[in-house]
Amino acid sequence: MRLTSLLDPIAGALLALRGISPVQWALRGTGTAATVAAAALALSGPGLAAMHLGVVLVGLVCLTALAAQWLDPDTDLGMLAPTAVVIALAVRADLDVVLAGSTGLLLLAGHASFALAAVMPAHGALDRDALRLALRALTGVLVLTLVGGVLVVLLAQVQLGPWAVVVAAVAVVVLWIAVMPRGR
Amino acid sequence: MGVLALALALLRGEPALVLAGLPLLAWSLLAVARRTARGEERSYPAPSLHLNRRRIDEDGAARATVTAGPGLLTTANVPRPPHADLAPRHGSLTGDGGAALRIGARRWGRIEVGPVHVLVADPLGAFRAQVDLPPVSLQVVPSSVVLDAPVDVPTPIGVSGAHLSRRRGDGTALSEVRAFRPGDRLHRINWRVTSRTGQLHTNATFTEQDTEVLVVTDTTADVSPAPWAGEVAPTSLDMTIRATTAVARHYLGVGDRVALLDIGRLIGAVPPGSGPRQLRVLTDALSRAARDPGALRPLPRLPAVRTGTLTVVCSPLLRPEVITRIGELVAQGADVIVVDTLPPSVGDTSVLRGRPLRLDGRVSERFWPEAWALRRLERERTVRELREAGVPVTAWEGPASLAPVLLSLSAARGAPRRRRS
Repeated sequence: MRLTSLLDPIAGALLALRGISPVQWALRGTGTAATVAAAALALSGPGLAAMHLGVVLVGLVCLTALAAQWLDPDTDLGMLAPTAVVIALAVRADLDVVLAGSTGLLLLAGHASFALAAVMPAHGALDRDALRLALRALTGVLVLTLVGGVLVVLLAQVQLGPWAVVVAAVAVVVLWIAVMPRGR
Repeated sequence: MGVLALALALLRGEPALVLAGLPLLAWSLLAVARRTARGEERSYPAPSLHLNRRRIDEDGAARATVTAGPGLLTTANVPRPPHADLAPRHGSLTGDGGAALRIGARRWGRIEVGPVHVLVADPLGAFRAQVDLPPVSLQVVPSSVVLDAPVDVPTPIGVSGAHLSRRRGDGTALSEVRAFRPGDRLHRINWRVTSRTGQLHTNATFTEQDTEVLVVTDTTADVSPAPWAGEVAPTSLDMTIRATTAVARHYLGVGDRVALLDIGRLIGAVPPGSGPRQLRVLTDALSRAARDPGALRPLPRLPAVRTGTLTVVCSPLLRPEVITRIGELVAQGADVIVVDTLPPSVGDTSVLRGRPLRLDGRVSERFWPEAWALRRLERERTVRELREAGVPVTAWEGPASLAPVLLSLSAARGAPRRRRS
């Protein structure tokens, strides 16, 4: 086997990396960093030190999802990483408001970055006006999150009867139907 | 994901878990609410493609704008047309409600912009729709340099115009002052000479004529320049079209009638005409031509030309049929000038060192440079034979290419000739 036949594909792939636009590097980099940070937050702490298998599993799922999203930011595999992080949070015994809130914000940053990256091809450029539009929309999300977070913290101290479980379940189903992706 | 967090929080009785899914839930809810509020549940506004100019000059630029609607992330992906530059470089731009890309033309001809792939999304990127817009044509007019050549033609054959003829008649250039004859115009009487001599004298003038210039364009071949000539070096077809445009513009500018005959059938024939309108017709015909190499087809027959018609043949002189057509024109009595449009780098022997050339780090095994050098040597014989037959051949080197040839042709016409017995 000639050395050139081995090196040429590698060199070709490295050259193809030059075609990726700076904005795509920034968006995919932000998405990866935020998701990795969310996973690290979810897996950190003394409560999870003994869960070696779970940590490895969540880590592998996150890495797989991120690798898939690097290749195609629009892939459905990208949802695996937030799912794994939320499940990792759910099994924690020492979950507090700050940890859950900051993890949620990091997941939002990662998801929003990859969603924006999926709007354009790898070599695409982003206009300043488009960036401002996206940031304005994200500001609205943050405000809504803040209001919702304050409400959750306040309502968490209110003791309700067992009937509240039924109402909450119905609310979850309604929300699921509302945000469920559907074809046009 | 937000709903999953809510469900897990409900199952575990852990309100804090809601906060982990709340941002993603807010992201989804805002995207759905925005889409519903704007009435975009079923479809986004149909995007449209618009060019700010349909005709540009060579090395000029046009702007292609894709418009979808305000408040939508609109991504336009334009495939890079041949011989054109795009800005952004890869032809993909995302904007607010639309995207404007710059298309710079490096070569004359027709450029197909598109098909343009458009992706429209909401500002969060949650919902997307894609559509392919059909391509639009952009005409690139060949850059016509102002020819640095005399306006004289060897044999003016019209009845009025800008060229000074050797016949006497109505005009402005003084020929002689002579005695008044019956029929002379009164306003041409030279009163100063009349008062000095005591006899009526009048100013005689040369007539001014236009002529018909036939530009024969050989578009049968498009020879690329040698690799060492650089990426922006023109091909033989580029040089042919530029020379054609420059000659046509030059003679149309002085009021002559100019006709175009394409012996490659890429452009088609343009009947004789004069003035700015004819220049527009000519440049329009040239810019509509597609760079289709096509198959070799038989050359069309030349139309009959009047004796003395100035005929400028722009050709790389590679096909024997073209040489035959030049001979036919000479036989009809036309004043033929050949503009050689083979790129100077093709067949350049100065780079040959007796060993295979190394191009882009590779040694070519096909010996193209050597083959073209032999072809150019063979062509030199054709050029010499044309010159011996009285057909001047000049290489196209820009605006000053034709000046010496036209001057020598005019001088040759005016020179005394030995009578043939």
